[in-house]
Amino acid sequence: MDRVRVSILVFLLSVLMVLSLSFAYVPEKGLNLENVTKSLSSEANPQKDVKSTAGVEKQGDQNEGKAPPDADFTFKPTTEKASCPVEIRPTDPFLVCVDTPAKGIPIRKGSYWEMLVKYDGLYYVPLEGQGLIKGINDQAYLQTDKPLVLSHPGGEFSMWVNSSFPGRLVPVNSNYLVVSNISQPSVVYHWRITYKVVENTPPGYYPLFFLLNASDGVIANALLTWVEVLPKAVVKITSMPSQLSGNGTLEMAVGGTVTYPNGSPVKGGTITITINRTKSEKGIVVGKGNVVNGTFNVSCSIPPDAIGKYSVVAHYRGPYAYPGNSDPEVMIKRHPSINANVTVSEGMTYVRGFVHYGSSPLKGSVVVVARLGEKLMKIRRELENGSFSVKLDGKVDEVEVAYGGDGFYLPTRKVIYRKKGPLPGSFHIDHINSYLRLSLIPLSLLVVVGAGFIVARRRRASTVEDVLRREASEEFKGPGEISLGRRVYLPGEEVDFTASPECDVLLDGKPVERPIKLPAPGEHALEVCGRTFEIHVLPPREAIIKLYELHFLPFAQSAVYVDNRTPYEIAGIFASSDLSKEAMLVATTFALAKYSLRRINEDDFQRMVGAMERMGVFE
Amino acid sequence: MEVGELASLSSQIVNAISEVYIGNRDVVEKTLAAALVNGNVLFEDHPGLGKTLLAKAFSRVLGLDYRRIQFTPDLLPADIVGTKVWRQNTGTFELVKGPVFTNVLLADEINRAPPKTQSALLEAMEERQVTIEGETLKLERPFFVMATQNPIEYEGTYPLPEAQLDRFLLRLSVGYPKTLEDEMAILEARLRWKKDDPTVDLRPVIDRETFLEMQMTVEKSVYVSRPVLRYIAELVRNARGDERVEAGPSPRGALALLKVAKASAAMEGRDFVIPDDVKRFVFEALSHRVVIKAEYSFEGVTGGEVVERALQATHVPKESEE
Repeated sequence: MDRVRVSILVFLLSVLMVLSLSFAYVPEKGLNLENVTKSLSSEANPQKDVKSTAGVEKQGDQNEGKAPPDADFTFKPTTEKASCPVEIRPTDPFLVCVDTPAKGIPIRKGSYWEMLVKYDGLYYVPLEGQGLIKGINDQAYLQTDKPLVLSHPGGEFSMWVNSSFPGRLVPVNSNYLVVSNISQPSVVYHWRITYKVVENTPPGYYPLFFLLNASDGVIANALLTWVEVLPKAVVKITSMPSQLSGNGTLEMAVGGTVTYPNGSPVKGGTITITINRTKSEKGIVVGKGNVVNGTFNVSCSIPPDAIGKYSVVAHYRGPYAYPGNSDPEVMIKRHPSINANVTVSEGMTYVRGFVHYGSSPLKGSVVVVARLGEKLMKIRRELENGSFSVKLDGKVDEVEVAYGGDGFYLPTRKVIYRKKGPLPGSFHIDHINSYLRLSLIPLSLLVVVGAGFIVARRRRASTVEDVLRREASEEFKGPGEISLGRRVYLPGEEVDFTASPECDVLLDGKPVERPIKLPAPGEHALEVCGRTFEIHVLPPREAIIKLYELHFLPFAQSAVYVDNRTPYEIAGIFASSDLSKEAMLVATTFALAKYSLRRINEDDFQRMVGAMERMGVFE
Repeated sequence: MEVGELASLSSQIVNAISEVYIGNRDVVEKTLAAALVNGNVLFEDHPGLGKTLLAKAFSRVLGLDYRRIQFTPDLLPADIVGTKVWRQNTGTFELVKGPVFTNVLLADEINRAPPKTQSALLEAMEERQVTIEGETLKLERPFFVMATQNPIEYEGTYPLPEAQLDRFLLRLSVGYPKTLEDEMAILEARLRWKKDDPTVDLRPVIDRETFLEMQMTVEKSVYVSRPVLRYIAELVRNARGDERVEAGPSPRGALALLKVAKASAAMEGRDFVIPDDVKRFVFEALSHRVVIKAEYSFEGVTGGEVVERALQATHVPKESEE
């Protein structure tokens, strides 16, 4: 009788080892838990109708309606009746009594297998079934802190694995889940493992196995966790204002789409809109909404204290796709206030004022424009804690203060004082800009040039009101508001940038006039409004390579990990967009410059610049 | 020969072979790339996937002399390289050349012969010469071996020794037809040919001289930049540094990758190599040169996985050089 039992056990062990190995080492089979579960259950117990809690999910609609497995689905509950806490049925070796949740799994000792369990309950072991499964309560364990991990193709995740007995931990790779790092920081029996999910991983549930080669010769083989790989949601904001201005709470409507990488819509889920100062910070939640058939429209309320440039991030959360987000920028600008007064004492005029938003004093500078009869005076003052003061020689007829604005505040101006009677003529804030731009030339010459400029401007600017209206337009560039798109140029090219006309411009520390023609090849420092930019002036071949490195790679990096991709692979991410032609042109031009000996000329460089401009690479 | 002309001829060659070898143009292109650098190719896959057909079609289309050896357990080295036979009438030993004296040698089911016999090919594959009873004889150019083998778990086979595996520039897996349409196309083609061996109707696209010229073009006209060289070196080193590896790809593996990347560039009409050329061949050129440690081998880790990890970890050069 014993020999018969042993024979049955040996037979079962052989069958199950084969099943186990075929699961663990054949990726296609191993990845499909549903198939494996059915396969195992049908082989082991053909009569039983076992419903799988997990299965390979396909991208798109097929994701919908299937609940993800819970954290304890290492074992699958059943309604079978059995004698707990331990029951082994030769005809149904995958039925096992354990607790909830079962943490330890089959432990192989020597040539046979045992089941290490810690709790009671009746479950099916969906895979890794062993011929001799024995439920025992034991102090030994091999377990992890993460029974279920959510990830996406190309993603990475880390987990701890702990054991109560010493040995060498061997995480088992599959074709899709690759161990990228394993460390054992300080505590014995305690490992930190990082997995990388390879890019082409199909969505689905993936088991992670671990072997522990114990120092006493015991080999523990455990299915410790499952990885649910979901296609990453591609979240795009398609409609939102690029700039908001005004005071108090501002309303903003944000619309967009949520799709799978193949473009099909994600049907459900929620969208949370945040505004973030930096990518790393949590951000302020300004609105929430639902995703319906791949689209969302969310009404957002921007709090009064939000000022300046923010990233608007739409966060997708839902059971159908891995969380994703989008981050275009919105500029939230506020209207500052100018409080000022004019006093006259002993033939001198004093202008004192304060520029602020709410209770916050502003930084930057103001321009005070004063008219004494036909004479126009323009004086620039740096704000000190929001305050400024100007002393003028004589009694003025009119004083106006202009604040140019900055990244956070809109430009504004205010007439502080105006003597009753007809105006001698209108003036324009450009007078001030011109004055400031010419501030480096001698004062006597300035008077002549300034007067001539006033005459010329008078023909174009009709009234003060006209001027004020124009100044309120968004085109005004305040001090410090600089846009420098490209930083790589050919020798002799003009630098393409916009900045407040009153800004001082220095090239390599020396003042220069606009437009700036760049000198010989090399690296140059362009200083505008106190900000310094590194400008690379290079021959065509080097310029193309630098252009790609400095502008295109960071641009592409926002969409895909570029480090181990070739230029053509990176261009491939634009294949389905309208920009595919431009992306290919960029890749080809770069490849010629970087990898070939072909002649590269200025036209090649300019074609690449043009393509990158059309793609929106430059800021 | 200009690189553009080489690309055009390559396209014609691939088209001609694809007429009889249906549904796997990629394998045809890779085999041609290997042939352009005199590289030996090992076709490894299950029986009945057209490995022999492909080798035969190649030799015909390239206008080269072709011999086939069916490897069997009782095959002897002399059956491959030849031997000296005593001639009674002249009283001298006469050299009887073996089938290795050809341009394209098809070593069919190479893993069915014992290692000693397999090793008889080593000198021919690497040095393009054979030594028979102390006399060294040069083989005619071009010379390359196309070997086929079935996966080693099949009965009655001998795994190729590492030294011999290393001599194969590429190991290609032919694979089953990918789609139902591919499967149908094979059946329809058979009806069209009205014979079992369609290669008998194949006409050479080029002759031997032209093929030698193509090889010369790949050798001399394709430029490889330092960043690409560095990329190849880093790839190989990363594969070698994998903790699961007992023995990583040899410098010969890196050279193989370099050579075949040049051929790939030329076939696309480019006179310079880009990282895509390297990536395209990295699995075929390196994975068979990786020996996995026993414990990882037991877990099912393959050379392909090691190469995949190396590929993920290796930075593609795209920056300015300092």
